[in-house]
Amino acid sequence: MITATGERSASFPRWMILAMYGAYPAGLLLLEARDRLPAAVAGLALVTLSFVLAFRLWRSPWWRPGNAPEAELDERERALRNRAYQRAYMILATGALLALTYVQLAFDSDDRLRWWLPASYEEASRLFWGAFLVAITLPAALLAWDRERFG
Amino acid sequence: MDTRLPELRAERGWSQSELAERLGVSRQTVNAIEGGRWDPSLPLAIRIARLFGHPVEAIFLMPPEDQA
Repeated sequence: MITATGERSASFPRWMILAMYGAYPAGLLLLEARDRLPAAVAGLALVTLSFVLAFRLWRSPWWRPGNAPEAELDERERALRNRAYQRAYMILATGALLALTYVQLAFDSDDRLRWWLPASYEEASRLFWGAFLVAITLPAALLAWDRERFG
Repeated sequence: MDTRLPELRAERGWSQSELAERLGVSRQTVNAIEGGRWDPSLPLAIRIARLFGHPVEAIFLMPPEDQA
């Protein structure tokens, strides 16, 4: 929401961050049960919820320090952004390393069927959009998470 | 760090947004400085001091245990 003074006023509490990142994988698991319509509808609703919350984060005051060009930020916002970028890099790099390790182990395993790997364009696409969601929102989500400290 | 910024701002009748505009920072940054959650850099502290016509040390007060 934009206030009369032009400021973005929508807050983004921690439960929304957890819901944003939790709803997407939970929704995908439910979508797998596509032969059961209620579960599939619930799955689609959860995936939609995840992107709706990402949109709300985009409208929150935390998006600007996490994503605006450096020239538009003051010294405090630059310091917050640098800290958020550092933490986001560590989280994403660790996640990528763990994912690659998993894939390596999956291919090395004799019992390959027990390790899940994307087997179709649709499954790879779901994985991609999940990674996209995390990568694009993480700096702003980290800033919102620490709002008590830096708000 | 303690600050007299809210008091000085009130004397001039400025809102946080007005002060932020004069300093070229965001309102949230003024709010964080006034709340003691952010220590301004030396250049920003000097800009604040010049704006109010006081020395820096009259606006930003070091806690006794930090004073050398």
